[in-house]
Amino acid sequence: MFELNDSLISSLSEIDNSFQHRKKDFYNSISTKNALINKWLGEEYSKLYPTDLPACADIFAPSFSQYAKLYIEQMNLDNIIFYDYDPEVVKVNWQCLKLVKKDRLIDQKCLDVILDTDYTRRNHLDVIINFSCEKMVDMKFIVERVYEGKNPVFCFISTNKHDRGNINVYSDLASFEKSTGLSTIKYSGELNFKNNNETKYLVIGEK
Amino acid sequence: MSKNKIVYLRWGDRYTQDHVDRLYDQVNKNCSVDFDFITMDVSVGQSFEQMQALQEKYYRGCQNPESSITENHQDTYIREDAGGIAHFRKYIMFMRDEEHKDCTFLYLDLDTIIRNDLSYFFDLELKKPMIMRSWQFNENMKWQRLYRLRSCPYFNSSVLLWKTGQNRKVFNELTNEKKIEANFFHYGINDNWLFHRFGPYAYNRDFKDWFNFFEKDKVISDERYMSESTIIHTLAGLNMSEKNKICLS
Repeated sequence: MFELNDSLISSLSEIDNSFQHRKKDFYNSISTKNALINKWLGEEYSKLYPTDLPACADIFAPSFSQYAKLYIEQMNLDNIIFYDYDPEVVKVNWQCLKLVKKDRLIDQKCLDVILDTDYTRRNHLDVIINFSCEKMVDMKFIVERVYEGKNPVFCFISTNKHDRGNINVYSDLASFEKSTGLSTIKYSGELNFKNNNETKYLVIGEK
Repeated sequence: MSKNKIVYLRWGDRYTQDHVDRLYDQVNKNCSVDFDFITMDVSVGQSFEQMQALQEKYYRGCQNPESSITENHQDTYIREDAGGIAHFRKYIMFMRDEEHKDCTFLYLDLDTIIRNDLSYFFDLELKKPMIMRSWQFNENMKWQRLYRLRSCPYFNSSVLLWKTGQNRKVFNELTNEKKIEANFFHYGINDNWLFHRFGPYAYNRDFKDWFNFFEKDKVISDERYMSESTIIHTLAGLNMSEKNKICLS
């Protein structure tokens, strides 16, 4: 319990000292909703794939990641790179990830995973997770063009909610599935958040 | 022919020849060095046609995609989120400038008010190209708060200053065949794209902090920053009717 608080306290301290203008975003990020999404991802992935050996992962657009431990441990991810184009998220996440960094290799890069693909890694990757597909072009772009000839497991999360910055919203799960360009979908499902009037989608699959 | 070029662009029917004539009058009265008042062909050619097609393909709104504000509030996406890069034509200037060897270009939007001598700009040392800065977005950390939403960039392409070929990388990045579709899908406004690809947080070190800025009170878009030495005032936050009252009066 102390460890979790240690990570949270460091994150809050970073927000208070350096990024007070991001307080609202940070508090939103530690909502129960985000904990449930992280847990959902971990549970569904671990039902499909063995987790006895660590898997190397790239994680796109995670935003503030206070709950990352929930899926990282369950999926047994290691040698992880988090990518976000917002440098303030990257700095605060270094504290959010304090707990999981202790026994796993974790790095971060501040770039746009669609427009800076020349600087993302391609080799020896087992898993790609995108937490914010609604903020980007269809994932078909990633699957077909960026990882051409590679076969990692793709975990894509999106939403049906129109909100500022959500530029690619799908009204139903089937449309989202189709947009991923994955030919083998191992899991797809929805999680409803009635309080937010929002449905989250999760698709896990391979090319 | 002068090496100092003052450039305007006009396309569509939002701005008229009256706006061009009015700008020319102002430039003529307020520039003490030799200059040519020119425009460039930014609505022809293969690059233009490709980008125009992508604007039509990816624009997710139902108003004029070249409008930089959300006019129809029934639109599902506000203009910044609607894709299709409004005003992408401005960056075609950075390819067309090749037709003018060894020149300095001062680009002005047509809704610009000129208050002092434009010769100031042609005396500047252009170690980097220059762009107008919207200083008001520094208040309350506005641009930092909204960076993730591709909103409130402090780059303002209403006023640009560069030498022949100096901004070619901007054009090349916009039209890069691996990125051009994603550029037009992701960005609704040209300055937001420019700020993310060539601003303070650009990942590519060659592109990071690409531009220098004019002194704070020389070129303004917010009257609070105006002083006696203000040279250019661009009209921000006004609708077309309000702009016309000022520009065409």
